[in-house]
Amino acid sequence: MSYKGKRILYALAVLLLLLLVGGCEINRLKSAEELYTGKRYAAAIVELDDLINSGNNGAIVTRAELLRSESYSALGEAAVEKQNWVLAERFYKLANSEEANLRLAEIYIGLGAAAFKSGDPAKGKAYLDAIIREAPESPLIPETRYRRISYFMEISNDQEAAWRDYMKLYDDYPNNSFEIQARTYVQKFIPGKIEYAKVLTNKEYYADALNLLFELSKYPVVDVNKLNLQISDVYENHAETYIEAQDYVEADRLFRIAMQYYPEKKAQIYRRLEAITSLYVSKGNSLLEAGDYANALVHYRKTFDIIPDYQPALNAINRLLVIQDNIRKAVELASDGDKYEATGKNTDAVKAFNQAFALDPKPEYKQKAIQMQNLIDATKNPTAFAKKIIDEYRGGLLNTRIRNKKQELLKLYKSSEIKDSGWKILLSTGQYKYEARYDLLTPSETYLYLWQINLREKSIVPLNRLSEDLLK
Amino acid sequence: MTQFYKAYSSLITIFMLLLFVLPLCAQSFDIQAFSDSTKYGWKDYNDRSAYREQLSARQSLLQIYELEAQPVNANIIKSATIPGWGQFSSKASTKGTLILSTELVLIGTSLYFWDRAMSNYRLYKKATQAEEIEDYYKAAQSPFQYSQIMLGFASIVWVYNIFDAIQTTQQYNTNLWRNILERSQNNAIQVSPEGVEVRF
Repeated sequence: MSYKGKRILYALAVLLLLLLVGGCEINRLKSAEELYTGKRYAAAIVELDDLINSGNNGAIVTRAELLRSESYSALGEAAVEKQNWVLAERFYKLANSEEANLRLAEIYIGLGAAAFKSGDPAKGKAYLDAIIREAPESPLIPETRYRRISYFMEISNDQEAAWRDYMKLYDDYPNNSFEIQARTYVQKFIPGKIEYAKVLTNKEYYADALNLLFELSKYPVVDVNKLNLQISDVYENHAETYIEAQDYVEADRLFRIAMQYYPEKKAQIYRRLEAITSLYVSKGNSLLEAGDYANALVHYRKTFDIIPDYQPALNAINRLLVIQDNIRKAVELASDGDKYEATGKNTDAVKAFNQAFALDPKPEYKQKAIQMQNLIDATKNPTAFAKKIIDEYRGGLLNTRIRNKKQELLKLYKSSEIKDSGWKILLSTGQYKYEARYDLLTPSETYLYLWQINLREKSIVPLNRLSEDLLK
Repeated sequence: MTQFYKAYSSLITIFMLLLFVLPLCAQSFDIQAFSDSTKYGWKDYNDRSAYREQLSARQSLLQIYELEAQPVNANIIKSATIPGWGQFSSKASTKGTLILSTELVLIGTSLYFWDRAMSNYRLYKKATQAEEIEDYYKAAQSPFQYSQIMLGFASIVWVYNIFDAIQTTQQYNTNLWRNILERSQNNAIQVSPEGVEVRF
């Protein structure tokens, strides 16, 4: 190879090497860094954008992104120097760093202050909104919130918005100097909120009233004593509604909460609680009468939470226990009565059922006792007992009606023409069942009355139309 | 030599011409598009904040990367000094071994032929007979040419070795960053600008 050829080959090799080295991502980054150092920020950004979009090495891309952020910040700073606020805002947003956000917030607050000063509060408010929206982590946020509260109170008269801003201000920056200043504004409408809570209480919107009062209680803008009194009042009013609904357990619970919020009310609430104890006993008595012994006992015992060993409740519980004992004994006696009945010891059965009825006045015990007595009477002299049933039936109705019928016939016929059979008691089909007959015969008319008498039940059933009509 | 300079100067002329003409063809700078705060896909504060957090997390890993990364320039010098060294440094030992062994074989062969050529050349120098002079010269010429060819191949491999050292180092660094990212994502304990996060 000639000398010339060798030189060309070497030159090409060096050129290739330079191109390869120049194409390295790290060199592209270095090139952008040189542009940044030379204050050619826009050119640096263009080069960095290209590197970020096409780069393979994530570390170099990350460094490029950081440098791009710094380049935008520098451009933002330049725009600020030229008071080109629109451009400055855009560049700081593109810089997208914490420092850029701080600068953005500073620009906004400055522009906002200028707008307020020049008599354009809406524009000023828009800048304040922009700080909260675009730089919510800025240390200027407390001041921004304070200025917004001031705007809401003095210009737009929007107390709810002011309250929302104050809550956020206190939640995020408690005891910050701007938060303390903002209290003056907020305290202007707090009495109105407490009044509204009272209205809600009067309208029985207790949950809403409590929500409002509890929300207020979180912030140092309310007299805690007054607020606790108000909360206590809401609970007390709510408890009264439960008393009306006879839910004394819930009423008692709410009264106790009311007492916790405002201990000065202790005597007053305690008197009310004492009244509840008597209501508990009354309610327990009602339940006892209705036979709900478990709930009655719960109500009696609940009084001890209010007044330990409350005497009327103790008496009521003793009474309840006696009643329960009597009921148990009555069940046993009735069971004995059934056994006596089964073995034909009717006299003992009557005695057992009567004793059971004396302990627990259940109609079924009385009924069984009467039935047993009927059986005794029926066994002793069934005919006489049947006659006795007829005579006693509805106060002697049958005898009176038959007598009346005979009187009617005597008006039409002579006494000798009327044949009166009198009562005839005959054994019927079925145990303890008899038939009672009564005949009135005239020359032209015949009245044949016939009933079946159940000695066990002491009941009478007409067996023909004539007898049925007589009972009507 | 003159022809080479002519070609070189015409190349420079074309380059200078392009340097002046290309900016004239370029579009004018659009400040609106350049300063559009949504051009990177950040529609609002939340988007910007999410990006910032992600960038910050990556920034915290850069220190680890700088400690473990291979400098491209150092690897170029290494490979230029001993072919394959840069590849070995970038953990591409197979490639490094291949390059080094190829280079050694080529240089060894070149030296072998060079030695043979020089032996014949020395004999040629000492020869006094016209016939001997001619024979030794011919015998020296052929190994010399082989030696030069082998040296040429060795040079090509050497240049390729440098080119490959750059590529291999870049690839190594790219993979290293990916590994660092994966390691940080798989770590039970993560240190972020907002504090320490422990995953269970």
